[in-house]
Amino acid sequence: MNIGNAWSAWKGLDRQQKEFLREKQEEATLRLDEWIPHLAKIVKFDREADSIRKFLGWTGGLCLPAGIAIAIFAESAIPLVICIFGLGLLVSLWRLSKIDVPNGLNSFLLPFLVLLREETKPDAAVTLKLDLRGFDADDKLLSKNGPSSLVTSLYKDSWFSGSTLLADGASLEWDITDLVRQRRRRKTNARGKTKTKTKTKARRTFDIHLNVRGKDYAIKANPPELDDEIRQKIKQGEKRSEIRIRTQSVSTDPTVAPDVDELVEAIASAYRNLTAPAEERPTA
Amino acid sequence: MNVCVVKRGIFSLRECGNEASDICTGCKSPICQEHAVYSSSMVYCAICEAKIRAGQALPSATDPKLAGGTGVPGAAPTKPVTPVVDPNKPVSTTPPPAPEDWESPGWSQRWRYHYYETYSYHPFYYNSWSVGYYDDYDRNSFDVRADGSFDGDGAEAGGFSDS
Repeated sequence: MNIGNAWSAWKGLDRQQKEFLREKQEEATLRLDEWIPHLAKIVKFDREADSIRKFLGWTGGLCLPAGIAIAIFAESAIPLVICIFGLGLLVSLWRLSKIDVPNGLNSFLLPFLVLLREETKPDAAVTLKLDLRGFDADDKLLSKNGPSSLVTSLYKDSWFSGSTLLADGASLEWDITDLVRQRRRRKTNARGKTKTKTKTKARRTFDIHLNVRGKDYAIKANPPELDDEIRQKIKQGEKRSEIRIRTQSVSTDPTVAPDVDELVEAIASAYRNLTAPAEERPTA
Repeated sequence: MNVCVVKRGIFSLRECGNEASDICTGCKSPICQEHAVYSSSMVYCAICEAKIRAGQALPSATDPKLAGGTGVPGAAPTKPVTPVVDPNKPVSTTPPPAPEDWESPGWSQRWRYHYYETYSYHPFYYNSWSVGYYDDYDRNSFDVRADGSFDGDGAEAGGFSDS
C-alpha cells in the first residue's frame, strides 16, 4: 500500500480516463494500441486504489472507537483529533469507492484486447462499448414484481460489446449480456426483527457474429457437433459468409467476470465451421 | 535477411514479418525482439518458453506443427490449411498464464499455447502472401496441382525450361 503511488497514478490519468472511473461507461472507436494503454492506466490506478481502500477502511474504522475510548479516560483534544482523522479516512474511502471499477477490467477485458491485438492489423479500428456499472443500474431493470415480502427483479446488462476487422479479412462482432434474476425475500420473526435475504442468478450470453470472405474461407459441408449450450446460424454467400454463435452459461454471481477462454472459445466455435475454399484455377 | 518464424494470430495464423534479431536457444529458430523472451543468459521464443513453463519437451527447428507457433521458415505460400480436429484426442489442460500477467512480453503467445493445448483448436494458417506482399495473381503461381506440381512446372506451362 502506497498512497504516493496511487496519487501519482491518479495524476497520470487524463480527462477521459477519470470520466470512465466516475461513469464506468465508454463507447469509442480506437486502435488497439490506443485502447490498451488507455484502459491499462485505469487498471494501474485501480490496483493502487484497491490496496488503499483496505487501509482506509481498517484505519478509519479503528480510529473512531479508539477516539471515543480515549475520550472517556483522558480530558484532552487528542480523542477529537483521532475521531476527525478517522472520519476523514472514511470519507476518503467513500470517495474512492465511487471510482472503483470491477476487477474484470484487469482479469478479462484487457487480456482479451491483448489477444485481439494478435488477430488484427496494427491500424485496425476497434469499436468497444463498455458498461461496468453493474447489473443493478436503474436503466437495466426489465421488470420488478411480487409482494414486498418476495420481490423478483429482472435485469438485462449488456456490458461488453465490440466490433473490428480481423487480419484475415473477416469482420467480428461480439456482445456479452447478463440476464439477472434477483429475488429479495423479507421476513419478520416473532420478536419483530426483520431479515432480508437476496439471491441472484445470472444467465450470461455470448453473441458472436463472424463475417468471412468467400475467397478465404468456405463453410464446412459437415459442421462440427455442438455442445448443448451453443446455438449457431450459418448463412453462406458467394462473396461473404456469416456465422452467428450464441453460447450461454449460468452463474450465481454476475459480478464475477468470465474467463478469457470463454469468449475466445465462442469466437473459435465460429471458426470451427470454416474450411479452406475450393481451389480456383485462373481462367485466363 | 532472416525473418522471425513466430506466427501472429490465434484463429488464423500469419507471418510475424519482423526481422529476426536472435536465435531461440530451444528450437534454434530466428526470432524478433518482440517474440524473444530473455531468461537469465538464454533467449527463447515465446512458444519454447511456454513449453518450458509447462514442463514439456522443446520442439525441433523443423517442427512443422503450426499450432506450436514456429514453423518452417520460408515454406511455400499456401491457402489456409484446413484445421483438423481429432475428437478422439484427449484434451490436455495446460494451465493458462495468469491474467494479471498480460503486460509481460510473450503473454499472448503463452496463452495461445495453453488455448490450443486445452481446447484442441487447430488454427488456419496464412503464409506470407497474406501480409500484402503477394497479390492474388502471384499466389496462383504457387497453387499446388493434383499431381503435386506447381503451375509453371513442365513444358506445357509457358515453355520455360531449366537453364
